[in-house]
Amino acid sequence: MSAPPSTFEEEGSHPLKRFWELGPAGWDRTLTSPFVLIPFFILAALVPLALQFVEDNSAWIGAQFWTLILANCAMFACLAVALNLVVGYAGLLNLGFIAFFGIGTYAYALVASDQIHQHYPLWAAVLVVIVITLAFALVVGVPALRLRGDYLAIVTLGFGLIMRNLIIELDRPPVLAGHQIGPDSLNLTGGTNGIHGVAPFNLPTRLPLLGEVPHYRMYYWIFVGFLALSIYAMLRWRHTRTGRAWVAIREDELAARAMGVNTFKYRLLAFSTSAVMAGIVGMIDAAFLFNAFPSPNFDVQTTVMVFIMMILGGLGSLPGAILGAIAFTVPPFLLQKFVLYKYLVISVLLIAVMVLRPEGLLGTVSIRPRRTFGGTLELLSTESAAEEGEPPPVSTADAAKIEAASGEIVTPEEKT
Amino acid sequence: MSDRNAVLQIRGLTRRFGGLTAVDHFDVDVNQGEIVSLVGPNGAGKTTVFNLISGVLKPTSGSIRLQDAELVGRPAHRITHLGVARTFQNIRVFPQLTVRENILLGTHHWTRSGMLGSVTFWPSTIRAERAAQAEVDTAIDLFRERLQPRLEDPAFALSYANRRRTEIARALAARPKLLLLDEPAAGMNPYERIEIAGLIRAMRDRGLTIFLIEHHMPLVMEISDRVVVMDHGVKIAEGLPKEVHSNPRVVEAYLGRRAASA
Amino acid sequence: MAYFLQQLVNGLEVGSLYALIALGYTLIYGILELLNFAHGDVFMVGAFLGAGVAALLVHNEVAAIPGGLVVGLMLLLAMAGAGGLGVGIERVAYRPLRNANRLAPLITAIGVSLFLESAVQVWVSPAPVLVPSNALVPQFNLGLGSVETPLTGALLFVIAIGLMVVLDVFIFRTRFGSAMRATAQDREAATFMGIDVDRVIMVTFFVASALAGLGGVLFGLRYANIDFFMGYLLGIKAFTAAVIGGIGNIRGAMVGGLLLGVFESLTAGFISTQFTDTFVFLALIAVLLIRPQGLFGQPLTDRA
Repeated sequence: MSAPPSTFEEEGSHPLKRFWELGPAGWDRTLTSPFVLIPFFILAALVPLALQFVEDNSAWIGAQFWTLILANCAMFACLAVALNLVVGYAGLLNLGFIAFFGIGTYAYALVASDQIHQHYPLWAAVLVVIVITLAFALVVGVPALRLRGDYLAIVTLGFGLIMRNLIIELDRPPVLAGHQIGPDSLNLTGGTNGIHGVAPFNLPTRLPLLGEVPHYRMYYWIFVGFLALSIYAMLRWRHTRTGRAWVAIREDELAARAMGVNTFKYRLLAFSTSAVMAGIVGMIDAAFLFNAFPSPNFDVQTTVMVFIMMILGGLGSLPGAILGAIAFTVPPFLLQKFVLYKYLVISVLLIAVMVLRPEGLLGTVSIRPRRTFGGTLELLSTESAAEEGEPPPVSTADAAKIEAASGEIVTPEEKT
Repeated sequence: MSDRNAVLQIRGLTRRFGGLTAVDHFDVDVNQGEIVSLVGPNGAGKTTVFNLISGVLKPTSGSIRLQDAELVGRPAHRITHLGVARTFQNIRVFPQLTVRENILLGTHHWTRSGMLGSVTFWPSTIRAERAAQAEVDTAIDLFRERLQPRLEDPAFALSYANRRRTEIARALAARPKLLLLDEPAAGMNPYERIEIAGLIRAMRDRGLTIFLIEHHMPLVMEISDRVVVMDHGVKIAEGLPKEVHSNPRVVEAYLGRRAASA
Repeated sequence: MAYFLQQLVNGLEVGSLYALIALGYTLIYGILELLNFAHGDVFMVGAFLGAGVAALLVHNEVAAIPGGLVVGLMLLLAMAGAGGLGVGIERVAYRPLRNANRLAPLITAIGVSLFLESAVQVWVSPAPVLVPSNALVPQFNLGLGSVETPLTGALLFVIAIGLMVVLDVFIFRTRFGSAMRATAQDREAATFMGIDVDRVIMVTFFVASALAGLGGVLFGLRYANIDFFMGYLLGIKAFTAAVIGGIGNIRGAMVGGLLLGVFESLTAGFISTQFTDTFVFLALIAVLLIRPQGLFGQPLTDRA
């Protein structure tokens, strides 16, 4: 699977030049090899220590701030990877994606704060988050995934709105047709204020060798760890039966069904796995920021932001998702003055990328030539064109026999 | 109709689209190890029959039995699981997947490996993946010199004929009892047609039962054990290639009434 | 009973607005099979164009322009502007992707929607804007017994219904309308019949967006408050209306819009104002599950 194509290799050319010549699909393949990913994650884990060192030995006091930015990067990279599973692999347009992240933050906040006076141990909280996001994913997915693709988009968009509506309105007991459900004091979500005072994970703050670990750095490591885990899982899935089935459904649903793929089951699997991944990221975020907010945790703008991260890097590309997350997290932090223009710039970039290069930077999924495939435009490389011309390995005697039997008139010139 | 070892048994198969009856009380048997061709003019309902067998369409009435199992009413993926694999008239390989991955998709229904297994390198998953990879080798055996060098290339970069070969290899990897080939030689040049003829025979010699739709009559005459002729959704003739060839109703269906009576 | 009738009237008002926007969704979906997420935001831009015209003419007081004329100008300019915007969106964002995988234009559409929202937020106003409705339209209520509606509400209803009738005639009685229907049925075949498909699509976008712009102005006159985010929720509700009526079906969109408006108003009046939006989307999901082709749509056959 990982054998690099050697056809274009020139003797003695520079490795970087060879890398450049691989093209986007090749870059993606190279960047997803363990030889790149493992050092990358080790390096990523060491960055805050380097920042700490710089801070301790110089007058620069921005180290903590940078760790915060990087933690945000890692969080968005996790989300982009999870979105890649449902959109890039399975081809399902989930526009309510960020709602699952939001559900994760609230699910954790409810069992780790004074909102409803529950303080679960970490393992139980993780379980609660997984079960709740999964339940929501099934409630949306089971009806919506039986429908055609466009409807999934609108149902998930509507779902995101419902969730926002519920979160904002459930700071008081619901009243239905004049009947109040629950006691007057019922306040599940804190309304527009959100839930505050969420407890962080109960983790040791001192680690051997490292000494005191600041909050930001700890959560940066947790995000990076979850990112590494997600990418590992995604790569494993992509190269085994489940992932192949997802991509096959994306490519050609009918052919996938004809190969025995239960399309509904695999769609639901992709949809809910991605939702649970987003939910866990939400949980980490709630513990990281000590709160859960309706905005931006349920904002459709946030969904669009994760979309542009994924699409800029390339649909289906995991290194692309990381690149996209960095590209759209760091600048807004550094350009706080222009924060008003954030979504304007993001939307223009999204449109530009889609129109000019829908495959993204490292895209493996071309979403352009669907109609022309197998039709007018033949994507013949010079190799396959040459291969066309060469006669098949059938003996002339065989040929003569068949031609004779079929009664087709073939002149000897044509045969050779 | 012979009753020895019928793999596929279709009785009274009917499918209507609104007012149009595309397939009308169609009966056919395909026996173990046979190559049966389904021919007929354009729009006769041949591909509809295939779509009904493979579960892409639901019949209005009738029965389709694969050995002992009734296929009518089952979803397409269950039918594949029971042992029917097919190719499509307009080739449907997965363009962004490599040739190898395309063929691996064929093994999907008979291998068992889940998401947890693949993440944890669970032994049963490893075994399943290894079996699937081994099946790729077996499946491309018949296309060795054609597909072997292109195994890691995405399917969209293949030539037309190689896409066709990939699609057939994918169907073979599904280890079907019954293989449905929808115009395997369409768009092929004479050399490739000869190759396809040899291929179909080779597949039969491996023990497969083959039901195919084909327009190229010389090829049909050459390879078929039996030929079934359809016109306007109705079976109008069935028999050995030679018998069918001289059947006046068949000539009429193909050439029109005047030519037949002349 | 009077309460019920009042809710019904309110529902018909909102419903006619939904219907106007649903028409745009249905027209565009019918021809391009594209879910134009930006359509609700075109409606919002229309409302702002109308408000801009009103602000210029009312506050300048160069000459005492009669309110009716101002409203006419608002409608005209907003329709032209929104229509032009729609054509521009199609040209820039959708045409390059017309033959792409279905996912691509949907993602672009979401981008266009966000662009329009943030453009208005950044360049016009992040806060709600007041439309000087009371300076333009006489403020009295039309009433029948205890059931009342302001003149602007009646105006909204009457203009919306009137334009829908005009549109219906345009599509089912004119040559260009039949070209549109042909394109909707089979774009390729329409090309072979000598229909300029690009022109049909352009006109469709213009008409759909102009209707949305008109809806925006009427909304501004009726409810006086407009903001950059209002098109988003309203757009999705209008899409819901289009789905209820059967997407691609023009008369279905009208009926679906009115039905949804009444449903929403009755839900708010009798069950809960807290969760109206939730109920609307539950209705959408219910319709999709029970009758995905909508009330008037043809059963959808999967592409085989």
